[in-house]
Amino acid sequence: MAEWCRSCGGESTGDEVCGDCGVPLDPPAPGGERTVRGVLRRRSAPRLGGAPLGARRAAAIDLIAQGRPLPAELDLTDHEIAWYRAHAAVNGGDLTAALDQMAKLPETGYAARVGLLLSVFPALLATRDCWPAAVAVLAPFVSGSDDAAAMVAVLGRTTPDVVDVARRYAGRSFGEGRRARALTAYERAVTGEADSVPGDLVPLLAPALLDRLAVAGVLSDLPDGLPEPAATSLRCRLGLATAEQTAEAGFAAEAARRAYLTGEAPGDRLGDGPDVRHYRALHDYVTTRRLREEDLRPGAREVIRLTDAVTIGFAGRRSVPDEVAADPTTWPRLWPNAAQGKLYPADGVAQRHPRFVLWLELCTAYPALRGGLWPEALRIAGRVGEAAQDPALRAEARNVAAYAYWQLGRVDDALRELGEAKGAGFAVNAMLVASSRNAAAALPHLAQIMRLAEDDQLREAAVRRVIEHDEPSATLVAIIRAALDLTVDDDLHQQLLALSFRHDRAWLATAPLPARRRDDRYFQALAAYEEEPSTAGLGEIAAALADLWRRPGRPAWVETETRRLTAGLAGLPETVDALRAVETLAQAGMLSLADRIRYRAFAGARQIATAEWSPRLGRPLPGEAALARAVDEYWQRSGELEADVLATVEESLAEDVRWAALTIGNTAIRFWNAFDKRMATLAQSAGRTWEENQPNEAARRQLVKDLEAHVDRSERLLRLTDGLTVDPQFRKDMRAFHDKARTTIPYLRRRTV
Amino acid sequence: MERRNPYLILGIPFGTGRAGANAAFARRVKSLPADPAQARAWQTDLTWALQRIDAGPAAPEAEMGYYRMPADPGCGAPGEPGVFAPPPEPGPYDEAAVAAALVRLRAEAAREALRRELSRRSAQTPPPAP
Repeated sequence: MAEWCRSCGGESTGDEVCGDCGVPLDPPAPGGERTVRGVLRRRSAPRLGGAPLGARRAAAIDLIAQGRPLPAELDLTDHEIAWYRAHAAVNGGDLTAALDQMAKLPETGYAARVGLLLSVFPALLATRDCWPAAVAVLAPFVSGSDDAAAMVAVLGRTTPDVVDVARRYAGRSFGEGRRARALTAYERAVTGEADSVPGDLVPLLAPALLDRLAVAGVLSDLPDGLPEPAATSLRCRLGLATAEQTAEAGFAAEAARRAYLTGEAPGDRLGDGPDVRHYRALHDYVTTRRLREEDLRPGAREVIRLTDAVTIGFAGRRSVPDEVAADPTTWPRLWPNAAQGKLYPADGVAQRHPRFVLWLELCTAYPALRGGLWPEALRIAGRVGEAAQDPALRAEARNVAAYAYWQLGRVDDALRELGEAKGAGFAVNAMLVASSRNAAAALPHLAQIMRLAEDDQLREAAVRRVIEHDEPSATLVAIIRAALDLTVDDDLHQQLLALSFRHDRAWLATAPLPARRRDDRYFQALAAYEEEPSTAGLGEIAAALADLWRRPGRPAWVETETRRLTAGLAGLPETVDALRAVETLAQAGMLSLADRIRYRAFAGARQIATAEWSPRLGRPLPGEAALARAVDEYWQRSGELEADVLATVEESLAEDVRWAALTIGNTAIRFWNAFDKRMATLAQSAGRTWEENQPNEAARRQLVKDLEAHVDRSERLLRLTDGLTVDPQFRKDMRAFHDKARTTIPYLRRRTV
Repeated sequence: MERRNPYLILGIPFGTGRAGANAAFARRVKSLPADPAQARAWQTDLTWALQRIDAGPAAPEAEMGYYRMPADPGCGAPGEPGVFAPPPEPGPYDEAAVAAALVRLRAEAAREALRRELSRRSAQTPPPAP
């Protein structure tokens, strides 16, 4: 705009005076600060009105910029002043104030406001509160100004023709913004020009558009952050939901497909729509070979009919048409006939479906393998392997070659061929080939099977092979560790634990086994006990074993382990206290009557001999109670024991009791022998007064009580020997000591009162 | 290690179930060689093969005793979808919802383009004279 009327905001007509309001078009005089200073300093207010219009306008602009009041003598219209204020506010960064002033302008005047707002558009865009006011002041100019139309389209949010405005203003393609790219990518994917939408653009697409992409088959993953129920719906469309979710969400066709793929006929709850009927018919055909063409979808009907014709048994040879060759899912069904050389490609199929022809050629290697024609099989496999672009077919060709090499005794060549293929089946073959050399050579391949197998049964079969190996090696250890993570049956798991115990005890002792089972606890306790230094006691082992023992239908190995554990008790070093383990086994009912008596007595006597006892404890050792229980049980139930068992039990019991009585008796005698000396020592340290001597007196009384407790304990133990085959002289000597002590103790007690 | 392969002898892919093995056996027995000695040898082989498959694990996936041909359950065919391995069924979509979403996306793309263009022009536009 060259010139325009600042007084009314009208556009210039090219004259010196506004055609609308008659005010001169003089622009504000240049000079800014100087102008206002000069005008205000030299002219009094009454004379200000006589100043040139340009100077007054300049003065108004400067006064507004300085925040000073405007004298009425400036004689400018309110619109003009509002315009200058709006301009100043924009320059000062106050968009709210600027838009307030612009709202005071005549609706269609002051078109320069569009340029003024365009100059600060980024700031305006960042100030969402200002958008409605900005749209209001720009709206009158939309038809005459592309800038105004563009700003209103952006800030107005509801502009219906925003697409047209953008095409006029920014070009037809909408540029390289993310949404523009998302729109282009979506349109290309839906029309088949592209295979997918770039991952970074998918989140910009609405759920409805994602559904459309899923239907077009160009979306494979669920984008993050998609809200429900759109997420579940899309998951169902993509085949990522469970069968239940899919059926519940109403995707009957997908639910029927899922049922078919798992080998089941689609259930009644999915209804009887054409999609469900198609999958029922497909299931029938695959499982029973019954072809119900009327229920199959038209596209599938023809393929299946043609496939059936080359799948059934027939004499002579038949050609394979395009429809079958084009669908790789039909090929496995052709295999038996193809492997007999009964199929050949129909005219033109070789050119149109070269992959199928290579596959068919590889099938002709199987009769050669069956006939032992190894060079012929190698020749076919080599040709297919070289020509095939498809990794699956190339791997299968190498599999054929490996078999031929194996049969020729060229194990290394066979393993080389199999080494590059990825898949559990190839690993199984490599294991078989390697094991023909030696058993250990199969181990790495067994590890590979466990890693690659998608089928739990195959993985378990591999584990069963692993447990046949008992030669320690790092590979075996690694496999066992991995196998202990798997869900396998209890017997197999136990065998793995036993292997781990033999070859990897230190790891097993502390391994954080997932979903710890009862047998894990036993073998881990056993490993921890056997390690040096031992970090578990016999009691923990017995407790873990008792836990297994109580399990209904306990496996046979638990009884074997129990026998092993009890048999080992007698050979334990003297420092090992086995009493807790024996009591645990006894309480769980894991010991026979004879063993219970024998091991209780043994463990009790062992504890009595090794553990420190003091009268100040105020109670007997657990070993003494165990020994007494063993003797009691012997006298109460010895009639239940066979004669030969009874004899060995009696012999060992008598020995253990005698040993315990001797130990305790010796302890009591040693105390008796030291008694006088201790008394004498106390007497020497007696206090000089009665009061001072009280602690000494108490110590002497306690000493007598301790002697009495020793004698009581010795008498108690000696009584256990009653009726058992124990040396009479030993009993006589002990009784003599007890009698002497009993006679002396009252005297000693009186002396200390 | 048994190197003879019952599946290969019967001419069936590894993993074929017992029913398939029986059918293959029946088919093969019908086409024995004319020479009686050779026919006897063939029949012995076929019977052995059928017995081995019958005695094997119920799930062939767990079989570890025989070389697998094909090694891949798909018989070496590329694992692409088709009639017998159909791709997911996405179901019908809501055309009106798609159309509305597309209009919204276009409008957003247009606004995005306008914002970029306005910002570009703004940088080149000084404020007009007051």
